Amino acid sequence: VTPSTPRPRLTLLADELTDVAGRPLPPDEERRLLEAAALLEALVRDDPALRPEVVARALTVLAREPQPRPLRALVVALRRRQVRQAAAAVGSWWSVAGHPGWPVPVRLQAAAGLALVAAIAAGTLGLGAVAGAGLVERALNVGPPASPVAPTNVPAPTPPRGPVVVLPTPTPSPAQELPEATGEEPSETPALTAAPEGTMTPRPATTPPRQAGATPGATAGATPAPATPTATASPSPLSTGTPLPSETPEPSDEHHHED
Amino acid sequence: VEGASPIEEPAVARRQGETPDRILVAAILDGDQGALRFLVERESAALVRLCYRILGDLGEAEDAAQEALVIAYRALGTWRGEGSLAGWLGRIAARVATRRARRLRAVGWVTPGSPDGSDPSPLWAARPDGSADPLTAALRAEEAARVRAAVARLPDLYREVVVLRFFADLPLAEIALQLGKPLGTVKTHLHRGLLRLRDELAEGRR
Repeated sequence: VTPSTPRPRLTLLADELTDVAGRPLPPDEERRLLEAAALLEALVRDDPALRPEVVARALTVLAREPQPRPLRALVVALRRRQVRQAAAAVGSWWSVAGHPGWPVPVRLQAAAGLALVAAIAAGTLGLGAVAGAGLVERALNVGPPASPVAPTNVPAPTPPRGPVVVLPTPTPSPAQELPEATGEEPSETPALTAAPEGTMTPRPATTPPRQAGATPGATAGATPAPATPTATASPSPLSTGTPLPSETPEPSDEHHHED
Repeated sequence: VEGASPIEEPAVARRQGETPDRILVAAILDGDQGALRFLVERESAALVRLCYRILGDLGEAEDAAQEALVIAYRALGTWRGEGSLAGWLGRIAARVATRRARRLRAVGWVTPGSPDGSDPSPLWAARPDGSADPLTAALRAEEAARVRAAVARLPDLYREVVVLRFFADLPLAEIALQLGKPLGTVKTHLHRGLLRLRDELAEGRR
């Protein structure tokens, strides 16, 4: 391929002129037509020379133009693995589709590409949003069991009511232990009273009447009957029929206040 | 055109069944900047010349040629390969230049004055020795402007054939190919266009 040379100047010949039916013209009419042609040919006698800056300017303008086939430009860039060129091709679609200077087929092609990109972007965003929402929901669901935020479920197993709470270790057989209780360990009673966390210690008198009745002898001999520390050593309080004294140490203040 | 970068030979060899214009267009559509440069360097002179013949002003002609190149580049994907690429470009440039010619205002003419100095004029003052004939040059320029204006006023069918034949130097067969019309129709349009042009110029002289 070599640069083309200027086309030779053509002089109108008579055989180029025919009438509507394709027949040769009458000599007079042919002469008039050749005169008109000579006027036009006289215009082209002094053609200007091409200035080199014209080519440079045109190339500069054309270099800023997007590719004439928008989708093909993207395909070619992807085939050549030119990511920047591919992004530029996609970016040029907007200007091509919205510019009236481009041919309609090219604009339609660019608009179709834009629609495709928009659909892909919307789909990707939608999938991302769904995935993100799923992650957040899973994080929220996994969190509460591990967190100590909900202690309200704990007090459920502590419904002890009444004065039974005060004595955690009632003696199953006060009569048998009476000598020990009276003889050695009255001093442990403060410890016992301190253990239930205040709410129940100051009132030894609140011992159930049944227990008080069960230790008539002890009360007579020394300190108040609940001070029977040996009762803690008793392995089976169930035998006495007391309702699980070992669970009583956790009374909730709320229940007491409510009562 | 000096400095033109020829299309790579391997590319030509791969597509031997195609015309050089088709190879060139395919390369440009693939984003080959060298091919685009080659086309611009090859065709710029002809396009500027064609636009100058229609417009009669070099600056306007260069702008019109550049506009035609941009339009052709944008529509390059629609080129069907019928006829030469140069003819297709020339047709686009002729349209652009004719549109510009219609927009141009009437040229302000310089009064020629007289050579004996009784009626001083810039034309005679510029050439006091009288070696040239500026009066004749001015009259020729006026006549050329009149002819150009008459061509621009021709109906589209006739004007396109007349312009491509006389200003783009295309043979009638190539014009028929570019316009997609039979050769007889092109001849008829040329005939009628020249008659209309002659009548209009004769009318203007009266």
